[in-house]
Amino acid sequence: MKATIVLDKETEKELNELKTFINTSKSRLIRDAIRELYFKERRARENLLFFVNLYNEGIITNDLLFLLLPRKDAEAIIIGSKTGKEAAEVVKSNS
Amino acid sequence: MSKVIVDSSTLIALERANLINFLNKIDYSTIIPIAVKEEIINERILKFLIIQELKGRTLKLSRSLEHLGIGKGESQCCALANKLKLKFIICDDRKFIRQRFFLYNKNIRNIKVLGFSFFLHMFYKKRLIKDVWQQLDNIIKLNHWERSEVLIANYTLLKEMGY
Repeated sequence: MKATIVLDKETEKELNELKTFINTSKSRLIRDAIRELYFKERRARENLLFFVNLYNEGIITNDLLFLLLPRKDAEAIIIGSKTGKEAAEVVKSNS
Repeated sequence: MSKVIVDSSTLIALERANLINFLNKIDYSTIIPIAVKEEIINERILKFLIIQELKGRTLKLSRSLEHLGIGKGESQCCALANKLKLKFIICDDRKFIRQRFFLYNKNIRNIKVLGFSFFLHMFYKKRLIKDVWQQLDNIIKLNHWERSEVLIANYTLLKEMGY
């Protein structure tokens, strides 16, 4: 598929710099970026609670969450897990 | 009887899942401040609740929390919890959960936030519901809380409670 993409000046500058850093084509860089976003989104859509379990058990760190999932989901796991654990302590101490 | 202070987000979620009737079958009296009452359109929800007005220092504390950007309902819930010396409120507002996480304010930090799963736990203990996970899924879908802090906080609470 061929596509015309519209980039703002800043993104265009970054793309050109990245092209010289990595020494690869612009098309390849865009394909890689889309692929990474696609996999992050698929992981979050299909396996979010699996990542929550791994995080709650201390198997994966905050940094790894941000590498594997979209930012929004990684933040939700970090904030939600802390809130849920504090809540569980309250419930246990009240019962 | 123990007391719990509940925000409109949780009450509306329970109503949507047809679980609101169970509130008068658990060993807690459910209290809401005036601001939460104003957020509830469905009159049917109100008959299960005790409405409490904020005065004096409690109202002042609530206003100071509002100045930090906290919603009026959540601010009044926290101030009321502080007055009644309760360690927690029940709230499923995503924005408030995030604000509480990022704000370094002792009046907010000292009060823990429990979600609707607290009630699922109570309903299950009273044998009013059979499957907490099915109810969790249902509430999450009905309120469009998929992939949010609300889902993860409630899921974590139930997991930590051994479900």
